[in-house]
Amino acid sequence: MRFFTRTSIKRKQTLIITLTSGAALLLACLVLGTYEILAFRQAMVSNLSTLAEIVANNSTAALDFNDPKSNQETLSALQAEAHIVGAVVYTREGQIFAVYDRGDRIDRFVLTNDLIAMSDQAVM
Amino acid sequence: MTKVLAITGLGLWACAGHSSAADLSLSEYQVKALFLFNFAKYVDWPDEAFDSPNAPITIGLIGENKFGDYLVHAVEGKTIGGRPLEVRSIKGAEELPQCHILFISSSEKMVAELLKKLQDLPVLTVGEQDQFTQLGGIIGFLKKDGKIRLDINLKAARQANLKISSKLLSVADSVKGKP
Repeated sequence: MRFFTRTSIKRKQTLIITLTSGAALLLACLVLGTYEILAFRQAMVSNLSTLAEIVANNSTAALDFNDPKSNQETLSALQAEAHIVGAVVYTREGQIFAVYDRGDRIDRFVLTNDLIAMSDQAVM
Repeated sequence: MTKVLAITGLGLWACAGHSSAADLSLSEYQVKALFLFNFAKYVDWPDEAFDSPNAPITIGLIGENKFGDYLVHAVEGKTIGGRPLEVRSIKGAEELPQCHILFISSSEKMVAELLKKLQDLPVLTVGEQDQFTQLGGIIGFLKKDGKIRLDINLKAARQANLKISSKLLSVADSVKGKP
């Protein structure tokens, strides 16, 4: 505090202005950064939901008529989106019906009853 | 990235709510029965084919019934586009126009004559004989590698004034008469 009382008014003024604008800038950065992250997440979720909806809609006939091969073709259209590493279509019983896997990276788990119940609710 | 996967997986699950015929323990005729029911989801009949907006979709069976009770149970309580489904054994030719889907069993001998009679009526003819679609039938069941596949005659469907969804065509093994 002693440093502050002894310096000239000019320096005090500069210091105060620098500090306040610095604080304002930091705050603005934080707000903007948070907003960007939230907006990005939201956009990603809505994009992926749209894609999943489209794939789901195009998979109904393949499931109804037990044709995993044509479902595979539907899923492989996802390769246009480089960030999607994989997709799996399950039958009602939770068995794997068709898989799209970019570069062998995804876990192919069989759905358990808990998961089926959970996702049924999510769909509702 | 796991999050991305989880979301996609969840979305895709939406489609699995459909009755899938993927269960390997089903017999040939159980699969065919499910297919018959599923056809109704992918075919559009003209409005004249129904008496009222809530009139049932009738699945007619001609020849020997190899489904047992399974088909009746499979469609029981189900509705498609607000219409219930009913299964009926067809005894005489006068009952034919009341069907929306007609399954012609392999025991039936007069297939060509039957198809000729039906060609301009909005009846989805389904059969399991070889050459069924060549004879003018709309959907033929084929057996390939132990699986039931579909053979579709679009020209016959057009003549019968039926609209078959492109989704159904995409799972067919062969489609005749593409425009």
